[in-house]
Amino acid sequence: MLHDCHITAYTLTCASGTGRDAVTESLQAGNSGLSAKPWPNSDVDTWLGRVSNNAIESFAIERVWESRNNRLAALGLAQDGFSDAVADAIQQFGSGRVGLILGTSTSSIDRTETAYLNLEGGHFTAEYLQPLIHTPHSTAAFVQSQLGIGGPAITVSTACSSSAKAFASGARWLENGLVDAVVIGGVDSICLSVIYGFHSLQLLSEDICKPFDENRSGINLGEAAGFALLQKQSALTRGYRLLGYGESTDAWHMSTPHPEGLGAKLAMQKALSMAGLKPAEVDYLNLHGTGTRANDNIEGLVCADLFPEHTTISATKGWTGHTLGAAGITEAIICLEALRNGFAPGTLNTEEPSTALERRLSRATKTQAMNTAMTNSFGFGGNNCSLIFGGQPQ
Amino acid sequence: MRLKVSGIGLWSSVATSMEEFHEWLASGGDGVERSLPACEMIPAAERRRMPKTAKLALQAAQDACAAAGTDPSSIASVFSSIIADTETTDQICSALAKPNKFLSPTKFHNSVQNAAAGYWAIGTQNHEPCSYVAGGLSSFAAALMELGTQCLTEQRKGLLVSYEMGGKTPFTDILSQEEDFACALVLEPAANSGPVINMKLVAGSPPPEVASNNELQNYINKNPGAAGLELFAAMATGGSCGWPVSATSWLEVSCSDA
Repeated sequence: MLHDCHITAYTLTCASGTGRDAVTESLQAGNSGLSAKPWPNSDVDTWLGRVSNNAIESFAIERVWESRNNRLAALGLAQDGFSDAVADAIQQFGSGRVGLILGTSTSSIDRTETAYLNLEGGHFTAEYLQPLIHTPHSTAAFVQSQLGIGGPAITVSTACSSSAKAFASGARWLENGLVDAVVIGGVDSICLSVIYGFHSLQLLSEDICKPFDENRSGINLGEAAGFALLQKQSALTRGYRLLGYGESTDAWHMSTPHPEGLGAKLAMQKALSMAGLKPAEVDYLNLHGTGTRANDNIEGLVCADLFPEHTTISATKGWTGHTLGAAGITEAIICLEALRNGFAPGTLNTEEPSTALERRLSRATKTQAMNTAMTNSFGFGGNNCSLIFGGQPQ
Repeated sequence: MRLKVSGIGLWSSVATSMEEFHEWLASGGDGVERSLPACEMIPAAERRRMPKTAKLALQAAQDACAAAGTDPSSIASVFSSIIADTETTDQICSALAKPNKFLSPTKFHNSVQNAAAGYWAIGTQNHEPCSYVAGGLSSFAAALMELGTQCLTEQRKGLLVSYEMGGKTPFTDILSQEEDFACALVLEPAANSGPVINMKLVAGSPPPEVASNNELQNYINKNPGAAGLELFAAMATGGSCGWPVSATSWLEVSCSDA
């Protein structure tokens, strides 16, 4: 079990709310953040989970950092007193002892797309000549500068498992004493690359996303910025902790899950083993549940086999959309909110629960006191990560 | 953090091993341009879809595992680059700038940063943890921290693969990488004796580069994605190297036979 992985602050901004209280309110009220409104310059017919443009554009950010993804990160950092909590950790440990691990799949590719509309003679024009922005490390470098983090900052980019894996890396940094506190982040924004890319794979739904519904027809893309502060602080006997993580690889196909869910099962088993828990001791499981035929079928079969009847199992992408590289932290924070507020989110929009999960999907959000919550994230390249959280309110 | 490097691999446009690379440097940079590695470890159907970056990375990875005598199917891995697949990103952004915005599904799945890592897992039938990390110009240091902490926490061997591609695209204006380059190394927790690399975070900035080898320094200046060569040089001489990891601290790696 991981003894020294306390979560001392966290925040989430996504389509279903700006800040964690708003997200929790929408989970409890059953209000989806998804909408059919088209994305600018896109003619793909799909629903999206977008964060309001007004909120994103209200931030003044330096020109050198300009991108939608970085603006979304700035909006996220401003919620729930998160930046103040990091400032306190810097005060306590020294800025060089606080690190950052940020998971993202899109990073600032939105800005690169715009830069390509304005190329001159095969070159970026002066306005778009932003060296760090057009690399995967853009948003981690931006967040590092915004928070004044003097320790190391890295980007994890393993598609849709990125920000789940950032938690595993953070636990290892603390365990080895590389840093005393580490900010875990996940920021992904909607852009044309992901809309047209997932459309080319015929994975986007023209309908609202219905995870684990017999009649599901695919993904709704979403965007999110989530952050958590992990500390090695044995003085805290209460509060929430990362109990275990499990990482695995399918070794099967770049964009299709292993037909028997081999990698998914390995990731869950490793996380349970590290947490020292039996499947029956997991109170709530938040599925990856993208709403594609393949994912939900395979994840359903594996989870029905692994977990007993009493485990509450649901998928929350009907509220948030699939936030890709930010999905891991989005759903990790939903688990933390479930622990904090004593409720288990249901599965929004789903009418006829899939037989793959033996119709055991929890549809309605319900009050439930719980000690442990688990979340799955699976990405392209067959990259899987499961996380287990637990603990009591401080 | 004390670790041992048990094998290295290298592939570049100018050399297919560390020995060839040193010969190339000593010869003043003359030589034959190497064709892309064949990557026969990947089934033919998949190989046709593989991007160039994956081919470079997999060849170096395979060579490092062979040098270390390590089974490639059971090792954890961390892949890393500054930008990596500028060719695929250029093709996708160019397509999106056109009116119909048509994208190839294969190009799209190859555009994830962990594409090379995914092909490696498929080619070696490896189900172990596999990651991709970046850290701007200090991406190699990012991978060392990520893999080093993993090897020590989980007491296991790990494979680091660092790669970058050359070629001319709009990205050339923000990262000037002249040549295709990949290097790889197998790390494991250090035993009590034998050669070790010792990593630690230090306040301040790394000392100015000591030009023990001007040709090598020139090569790295023209190929920032070949920063791993600084570590290999330090290992050969028992010296040290380092990279900034923030505005106020850097990762120092000292190598010794102790």
